[in-house]
Amino acid sequence: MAKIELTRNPFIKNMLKSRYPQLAVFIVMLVGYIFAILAGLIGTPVGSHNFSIVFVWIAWWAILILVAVPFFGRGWCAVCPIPLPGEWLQRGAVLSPPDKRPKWLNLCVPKFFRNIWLQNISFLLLALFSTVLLTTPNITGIILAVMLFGSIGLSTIFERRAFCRYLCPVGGFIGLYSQTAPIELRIKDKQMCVKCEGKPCYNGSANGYGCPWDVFPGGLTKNTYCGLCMECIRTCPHDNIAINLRPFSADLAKPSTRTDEAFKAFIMLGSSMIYAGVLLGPWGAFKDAAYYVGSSAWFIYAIIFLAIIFVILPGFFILGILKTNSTLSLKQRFVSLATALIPLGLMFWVAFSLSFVLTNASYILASLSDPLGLGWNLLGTANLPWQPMLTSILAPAQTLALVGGLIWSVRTSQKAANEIKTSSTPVIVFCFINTLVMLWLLL
Amino acid sequence: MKRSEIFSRFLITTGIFLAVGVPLFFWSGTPLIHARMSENGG
Repeated sequence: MAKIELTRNPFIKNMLKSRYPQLAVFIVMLVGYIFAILAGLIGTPVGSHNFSIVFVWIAWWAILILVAVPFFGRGWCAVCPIPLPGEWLQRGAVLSPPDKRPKWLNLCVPKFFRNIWLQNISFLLLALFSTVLLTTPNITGIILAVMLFGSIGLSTIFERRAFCRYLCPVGGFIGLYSQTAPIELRIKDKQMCVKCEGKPCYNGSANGYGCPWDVFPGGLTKNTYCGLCMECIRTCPHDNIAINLRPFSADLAKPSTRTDEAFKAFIMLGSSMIYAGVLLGPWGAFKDAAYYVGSSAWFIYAIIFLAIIFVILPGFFILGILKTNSTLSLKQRFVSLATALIPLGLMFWVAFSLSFVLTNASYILASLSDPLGLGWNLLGTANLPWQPMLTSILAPAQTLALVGGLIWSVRTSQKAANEIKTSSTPVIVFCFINTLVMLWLLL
Repeated sequence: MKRSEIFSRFLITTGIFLAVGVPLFFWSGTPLIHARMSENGG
């Protein structure tokens, strides 16, 4: 399938180039985000009746993992409200660049942190406390506030969107999985970028800001670090930026070369399996251990969690590829072949999320009618009884997602193995065993 | 400053005030609701 340039359509192009449609969405998102913080802090402590829990961990998560990431890649980052207050403060403007910029520190992020390890750590921190986070409104409110104020703080110290690029726990995995999405922002003509003076897409101009994600669009080959903010569409003087429709997982044809990204794939794969076991499984002791943060059982849970992600899964993977023939080092093979885990991990998350989203979706309407749990009934739906949805299709849909993910990963592993001239068999076996485990955990 | 910039800042400020003010307003009235409920027999 060839690429289709969506920005050829004048309506789409004008909508993306104008700041006003994006600003309208931003304001709605920011108001909703601040309301979620407040609801978490002052609303009912009953999670299933609090806007912050129901809208963040059920509605938003469902939209993110089932629709936004698989089909729009970093589409969520394009409308995410978290970096906005900090960015407006940093820029000294909401819309076009002002004549004088405010004097913030505007430092470069140190080279040591220019990777996604901090994002890996921040995700793991949230993951280890997730059972409390997912069920306790005031903890959710605090975490949302910390992310908002953390982003503001970083915007006053570092240039561009340092929080989104290097720290956001959600942005890390969205970036990884955005490589599978059928949408991309790319340049049309490389020579045009070579000749372009001043590189306004990166450095900014009177028409817009330099790339907030610290990416030079002329060198983009993957979706991972492009936040789809559309600034480069506004600043490019040669109309050389396009939004394309493309085949799924086009970015994965070239395997990754970065260890932080390879471990991100293991973190996401392992977390989805642990969540499936702890949150959906029949083992009460696991749930208790995960919930009672600070207890000795929780420390054991945390050690097992980290061991699965950093030792057991990568260990079996390395054992599998250890004896394969290749001119590349083991580390290079590990990093390249871990690319095959990206579609598998995404589909594991889809299958896992289907379970709890369909089980808990009926809370959404009730929460809309009484978002703080104060006894309101704005829409007349506050007293809707809890009812799992589409239970008859849940198991077939999960099986389809897992088997589809396995086939997708097998194809990706074959491409990655061809690229580095080695065998894909150990990776296929690894993916197959993990899929069986996930099927057992979910069904 | 351009009129569009002023209007955007006004919209954002209004939105933030509403997002913070409305829940706080109703929250501050919550003990009264509970008191009224208990006065009426719970």
